[in-house]
Amino acid sequence: MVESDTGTGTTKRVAEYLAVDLDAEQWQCHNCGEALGPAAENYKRHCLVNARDPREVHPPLIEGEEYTFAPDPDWVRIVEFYCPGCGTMIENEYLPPGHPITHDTELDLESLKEDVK
Amino acid sequence: MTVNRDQLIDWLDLEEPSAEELACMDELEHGDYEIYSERLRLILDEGMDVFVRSGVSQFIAARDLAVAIYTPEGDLVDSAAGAYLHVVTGIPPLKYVINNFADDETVGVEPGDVFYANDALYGGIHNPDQIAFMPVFDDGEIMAWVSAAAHTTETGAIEPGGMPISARTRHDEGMKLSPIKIGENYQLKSDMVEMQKNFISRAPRMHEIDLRARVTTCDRVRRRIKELIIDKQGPDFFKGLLRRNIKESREGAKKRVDEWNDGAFRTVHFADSVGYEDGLWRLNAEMEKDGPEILIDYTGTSPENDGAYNSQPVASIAHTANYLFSVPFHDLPKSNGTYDLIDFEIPKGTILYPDAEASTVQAVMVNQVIMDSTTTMFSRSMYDDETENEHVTAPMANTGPGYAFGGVSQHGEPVADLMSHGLNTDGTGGQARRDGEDEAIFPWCPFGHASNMEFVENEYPFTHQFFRHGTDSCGHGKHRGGIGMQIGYMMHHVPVVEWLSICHNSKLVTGQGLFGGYAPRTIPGITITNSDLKDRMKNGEYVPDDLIELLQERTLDADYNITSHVRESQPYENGDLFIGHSGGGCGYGDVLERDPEDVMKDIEDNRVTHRSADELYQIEYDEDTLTVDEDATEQRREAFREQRLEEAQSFDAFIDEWEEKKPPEEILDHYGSWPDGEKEAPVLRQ
Repeated sequence: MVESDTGTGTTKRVAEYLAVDLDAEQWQCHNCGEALGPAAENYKRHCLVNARDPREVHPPLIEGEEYTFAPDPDWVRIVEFYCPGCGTMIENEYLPPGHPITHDTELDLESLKEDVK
Repeated sequence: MTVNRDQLIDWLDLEEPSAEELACMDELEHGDYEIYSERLRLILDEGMDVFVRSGVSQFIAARDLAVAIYTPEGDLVDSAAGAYLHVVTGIPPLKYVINNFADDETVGVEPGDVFYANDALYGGIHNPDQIAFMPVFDDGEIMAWVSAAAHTTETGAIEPGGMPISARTRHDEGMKLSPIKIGENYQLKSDMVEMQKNFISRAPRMHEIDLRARVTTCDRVRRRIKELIIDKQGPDFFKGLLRRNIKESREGAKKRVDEWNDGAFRTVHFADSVGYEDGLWRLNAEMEKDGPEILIDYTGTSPENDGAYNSQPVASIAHTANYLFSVPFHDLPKSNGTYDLIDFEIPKGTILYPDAEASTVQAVMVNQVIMDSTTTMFSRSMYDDETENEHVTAPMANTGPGYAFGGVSQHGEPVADLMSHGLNTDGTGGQARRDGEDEAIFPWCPFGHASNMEFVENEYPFTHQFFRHGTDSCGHGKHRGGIGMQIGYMMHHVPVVEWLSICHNSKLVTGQGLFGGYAPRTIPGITITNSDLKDRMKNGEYVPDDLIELLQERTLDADYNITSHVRESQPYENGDLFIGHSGGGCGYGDVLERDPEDVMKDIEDNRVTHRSADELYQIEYDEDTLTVDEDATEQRREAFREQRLEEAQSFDAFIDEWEEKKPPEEILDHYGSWPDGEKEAPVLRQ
């Protein structure tokens, strides 16, 4: 396991597994403190990523049929984003193969700093 | 076409209050608002009870309805619901009447008038959703409007059940009434009732009863308001009360929104059908939140299509109400004071703002992605570790499994309806502090409930062969989504019944988990025909009551037809089974953080399988005693985290490979340009 870079500034937790170091303006993993890149950018860029066949998570329950209770991998994959420090799955996305990754959270850092004061 | 749909959207904003209204509000004394706003709500609640007891269709029995009061200018003051989207969509047709017909000497507005509307082009959801409204007069002055809205499940469309899968234009959808006066002097006009029954010839009795139930409800609420508030306290008091209600709604929502994190929050959701065929399309959404103000922009959403899966823009906005009024603003008056804070950008030509000729009869199916997206964007904004995060949640299932049938009942009556059991048993999403609720809710109608099965079997020509948990149907996570259910309708008494299924989610699900939670599984369409089921029942032989066992063991000697969940209308013979499912809620958080004891409880309750406990939750336990080995589980989970990191790539390496991929061309016909979803060609409608 990679040793955590815990940072030293004022942090604000903004999601189940994400905090922001407001002084350094860096994302952090809430579980281990690993730095996850500039808070103005997409934290996913600093995660480790795995695109999984959806049938690994949702096993087909009927054999030999087109519709099986499992998502079709031609239509969607599960893209999982892990903290490189502790392996926590910070987020995942069900995306068609090749679809751009979503920049889901772009915080107004100045406003966040005001809130913390 | 004369309807200006941009105007309809603008009408969701508040009208400027008059100086007189503001002065009347200022005149209210301490306690007046608290007492009389509650009295107003009780009157609306009474209206709901009257509505349920007066109507007959499944949706009304299940309380999937709304009763509302509006200002004389048409702004929503408060409502009892039911289905919150109906209260939003009452505003545009009402303001249409006020702005276009009130001063028209051929129409006008007089005491005792009754108006009616069900055309989505004038601000509704889709044509099964029908609304009646009446003015409340006092001494010649309009003091308010009241409305009663509900989904009636037959419209005279090209398929029974009011939501035809095969519709290709608005002309396939059946009866659509622009706002029209159907009653005068406190009486319905017989010719107007006859006209509607003529449209709804598959189920004229049901239509007339439901129509009269709406009007009865309006009149009860009108009388109560007049007798219990206006006559007791005077018109100025009443004007002040309405204005104060709107102010409380607006200011309450404003204060709450202002506390959430500012920034931009984005989601993308995908769906797999346009009605007549499978096809990939997407909702692209960005919520820009700045202080108390919110802009939701749907630019990048796939283009309109030539099927039934399109939505009018007001219908899409109204679907945000299902979340807003049942989660973050559940305790505030349901007024469009809330919508005064939120602006929407819905590009023309998208699936959310199609050409006026488009079919939008499946708008509710389209807008499940709006409900998914709204839940996720608001949850991301409001997460705050210094609070209980009580409203932070992954999306509900939002499946809305609509199963409609038509035929002749065992009593010889023509019947057509849309069943409420699947609708009212979707699982809710996993939340920041707890699991979602199992088989909990109709996400479009949080306070609805499935109708009594014996009542259904008395009225309609089928029985419920099974109705039970959909084990493992939830989205898994630290806090799992609630599970959905499985139901089997067996045709009985009569030779044949026609059924259709309006749902999708067969190739993929529209929902996305939150903060590492998984979405639920997909749902196939299953029918079992030519079976020995009735012979087994007659002979007292084993009859399976679990769908998965039935599918895997093929216990019945039958034809097993497994298709998309979207199923066009087709006949089912006596003894055939039509299978339905509701969906599971989306999961919240990483599965490896779920308390192993909670998983054991889930297994014990038949909510999740041993397979999930093993492969997803990575728990070491005794399968017979359900005793967890805590140390071994922790070691196994740590090893699984290590395995994740070993199998994963850096983001840059991942993107290099990922961007080379693309879905098969044959599923992109309705998507728009890849991957941006822009319109590439005009839509030609038959």
